[in-house]
Amino acid sequence: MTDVSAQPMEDSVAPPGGGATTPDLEVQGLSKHFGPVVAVDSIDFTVDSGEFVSILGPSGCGKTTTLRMVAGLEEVTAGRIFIRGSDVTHLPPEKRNTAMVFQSYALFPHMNVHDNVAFGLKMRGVAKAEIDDRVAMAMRRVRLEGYEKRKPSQLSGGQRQRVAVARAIVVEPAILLLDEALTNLDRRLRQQLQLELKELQVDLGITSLFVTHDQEEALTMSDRIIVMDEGLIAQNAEPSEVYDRPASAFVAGFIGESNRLDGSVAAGGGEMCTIRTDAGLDLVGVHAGHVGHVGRQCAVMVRPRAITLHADRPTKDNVIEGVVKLWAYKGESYEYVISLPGGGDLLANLPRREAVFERGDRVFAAFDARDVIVVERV
Amino acid sequence: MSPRWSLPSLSYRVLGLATVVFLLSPLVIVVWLSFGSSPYMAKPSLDFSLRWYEEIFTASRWTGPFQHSLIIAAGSSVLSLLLATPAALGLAKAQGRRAVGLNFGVMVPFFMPGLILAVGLLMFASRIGLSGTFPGIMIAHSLWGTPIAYLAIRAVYAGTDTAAEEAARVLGAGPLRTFFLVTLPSILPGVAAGALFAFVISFNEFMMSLFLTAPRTVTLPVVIWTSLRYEVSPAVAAIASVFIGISVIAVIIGLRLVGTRGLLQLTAADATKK
Amino acid sequence: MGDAATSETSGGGSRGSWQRLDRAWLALPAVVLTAVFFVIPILFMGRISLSVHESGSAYREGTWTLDSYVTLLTDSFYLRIFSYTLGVSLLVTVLGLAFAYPIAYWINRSGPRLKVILLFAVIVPLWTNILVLIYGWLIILSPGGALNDGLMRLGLIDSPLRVVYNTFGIVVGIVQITLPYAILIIAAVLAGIDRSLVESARDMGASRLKAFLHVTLPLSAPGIASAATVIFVWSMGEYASPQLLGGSAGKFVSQEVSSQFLTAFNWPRGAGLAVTLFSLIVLILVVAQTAARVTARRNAA
Repeated sequence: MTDVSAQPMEDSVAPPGGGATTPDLEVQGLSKHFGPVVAVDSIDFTVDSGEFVSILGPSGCGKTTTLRMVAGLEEVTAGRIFIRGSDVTHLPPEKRNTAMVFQSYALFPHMNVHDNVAFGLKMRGVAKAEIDDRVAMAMRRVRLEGYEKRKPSQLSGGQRQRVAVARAIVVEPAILLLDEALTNLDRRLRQQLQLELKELQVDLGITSLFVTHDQEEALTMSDRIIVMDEGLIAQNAEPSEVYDRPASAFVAGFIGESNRLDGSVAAGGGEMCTIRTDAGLDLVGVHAGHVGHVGRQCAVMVRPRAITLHADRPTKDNVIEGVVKLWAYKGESYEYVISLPGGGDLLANLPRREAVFERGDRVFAAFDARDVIVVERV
Repeated sequence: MSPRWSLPSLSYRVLGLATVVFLLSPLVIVVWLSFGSSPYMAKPSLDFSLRWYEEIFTASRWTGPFQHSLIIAAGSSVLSLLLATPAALGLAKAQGRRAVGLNFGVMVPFFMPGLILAVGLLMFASRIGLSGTFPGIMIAHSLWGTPIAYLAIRAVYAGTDTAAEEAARVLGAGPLRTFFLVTLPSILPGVAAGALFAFVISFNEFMMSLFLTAPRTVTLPVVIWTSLRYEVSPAVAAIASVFIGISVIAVIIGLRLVGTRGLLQLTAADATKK
Repeated sequence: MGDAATSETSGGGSRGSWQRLDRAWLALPAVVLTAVFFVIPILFMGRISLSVHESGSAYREGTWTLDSYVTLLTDSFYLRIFSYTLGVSLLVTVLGLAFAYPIAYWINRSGPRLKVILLFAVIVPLWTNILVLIYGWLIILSPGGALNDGLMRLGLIDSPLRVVYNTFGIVVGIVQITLPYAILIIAAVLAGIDRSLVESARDMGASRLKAFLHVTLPLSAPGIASAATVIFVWSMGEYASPQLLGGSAGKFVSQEVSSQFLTAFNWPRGAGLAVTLFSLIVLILVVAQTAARVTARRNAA
């Protein structure tokens, strides 16, 4: 695969044509090897102008390495990176016109807030009067007017984060890179800043690539989510699609809670297929990817919220009989663990009014075929 | 019974106090003697005189070497910084065999007795014309100055956030501007401490100086050595007190720069490298 | 991987001059200093130790002989020098540790203010010229010096004690010089010990002393070991203390090295002695480090 990206194959290497549709960022066959370890394995993706794209994945999936390669902080092993159509693959970070918000904020401890924010503009040789104007504007945008003379050590975590954002947006980068930019904040502040940051991004129309391990954060903020796993892109789609139509068992498991039942395709054809689970249940569902084949091993994913519980057998696409093993109060809802015939548990999440079952009750768990996602078994 | 003053807890305090007395008694006696008027070395008396200080700050047999020592210590600490700063920046956050090897290469002279370094350099320096010269002795002293400055700077730099330098690069600063605008200001306490350590080591060093200096470069410790061996004058007590004074000042500055924890950590790092 | 890919990778590597792996080479100038002014002189010394001595010109160039080493191994004079150096160094190490540990423990247990005072008392002598320290002890210990004078005035002794220009004097000198290093090393290791371990031992009913003997002391063993190494290595190479505080009881290796070079002008023999001393020291350091690594691994397992 390195051959493909390294050979000068004109049609694949040439910057994407057609002026107006040039994405702000295009990554082609990007790989990073650390010795024998393949951190990023020949991935491709684009970020369009004004778009907010998240790279989501567990630690070690290669998401931060990808971001750092885009920034120029990590040398690429193979592949190409284009920013606004020009090849920056081998440019040093200072020549790429990006800006980055770091997890640690990486404020310059010996400079006051004003000098921190002004840094990028000074490096670009902007005149002093303009620097002052633009810094003042950036400070207003992040609502930190009056803090210009403070040192970073005199600021709270949230304020530091805002300074880091101001320092990055003030240079009007071609692409704004955010590396776990909200991770170090406590939960409430984080939720507040998610919204502020999103608002800022939309207002300024700033193209952003955001790396996070937090699925909620990615779902809240992104126009598009790239889910990464073991150096590969597992799915690249809009948040609702990633949630409702996960491309793989990994994506379904990583984003939101999911029940997983392993089985194989019993009858296929069309959009729907029937799956015989290993425990001997027949379930109807929508398949994703290339699972069509009869006899093919696959996994069935069902969201706990998609499941309803009934005392009598309802008429629904899928019904499984089981026994209530446990239940737990979750505030807004109740969580039920149903033990299934033939082994295994099913997690169901019921609204308060439907939660009428006790431990040991015999129940029917039901869900629609369109809430069943059939994916390849990994 | 108050546990604070149990027998074991009392005993380490008593032993500790005895050690402090032991460590400081030669310093106290030297300073005491330096203010006396007796021309004999042995017994401190109770009269007060500054005649020995007058002598050491006027007689050329003391002032010349004093200047040499200052020149050499200054030169050696500058040289040490020039070598130690890049080394510390390169190795503080590096890992792997190559980093371990290079670290060893920087540190190894630090663990060698002065005599070994001195004898080796005596034979070698005369070959390449450095024997008896200021540059020769400065280089010799930086064999110890570089590792200690390296330890100080490395300790400070290891505690800084690498992301700050990366942020500077992404924001448009090249490697040089990143170094001068971001890295250097953040490691300044380490650089200052390193310079101080290297200066003190060079200023005190006598073994290499004994082997490598010529009359026109002879340092103060070598003069003290000669004086102690052949004709002890109480002027030595005054000179010695100057050394003690410099040490006190240096320790105060050092504690200011890196704090008690920093000083402890530096020694620990140095010990574990052994 | 194809050729094109390989060349691209190496091309990329050379541009990454600011990245970590490549940054390690910033240490090169300092390593060159070591190579040129430490390694080469040592090799030079090794070569000279294998040359023929020629009175009047230090050594004869281009000659090869094992004479100096044969002399070192056969002449009981040199064996005595080495065994005296080793013996005194061992004694100094034991005494040094015995003095260093209690005060290091105290430093670690004391509040911030006392800690600064104690550290100050330890570091000032550390940063004072060793000749000044030795001079101080000469004043104190000499036959007509402060100690004997005081003791005689108090009527405790009738004639001066022989406490200098002998082994005792040397021991006092080297302990004085090396003690601060040992104290700081042990204090640093003690500071790194998790207090909760000691507290949980106390909770489980161990007395203060038992908790110390079974928890603190074993955990501080690495500090004791490196302090011992520092004292021992320093003592093996010490020159000023035996020269100024010692007497006819014995000679240190370094004294003999220096007199071969500066007085007898027999460079091959001096170099042979220095190489032997150097090898002994390297051996001690290697053994100490290996032991430390093995213990660390065993503790980790």
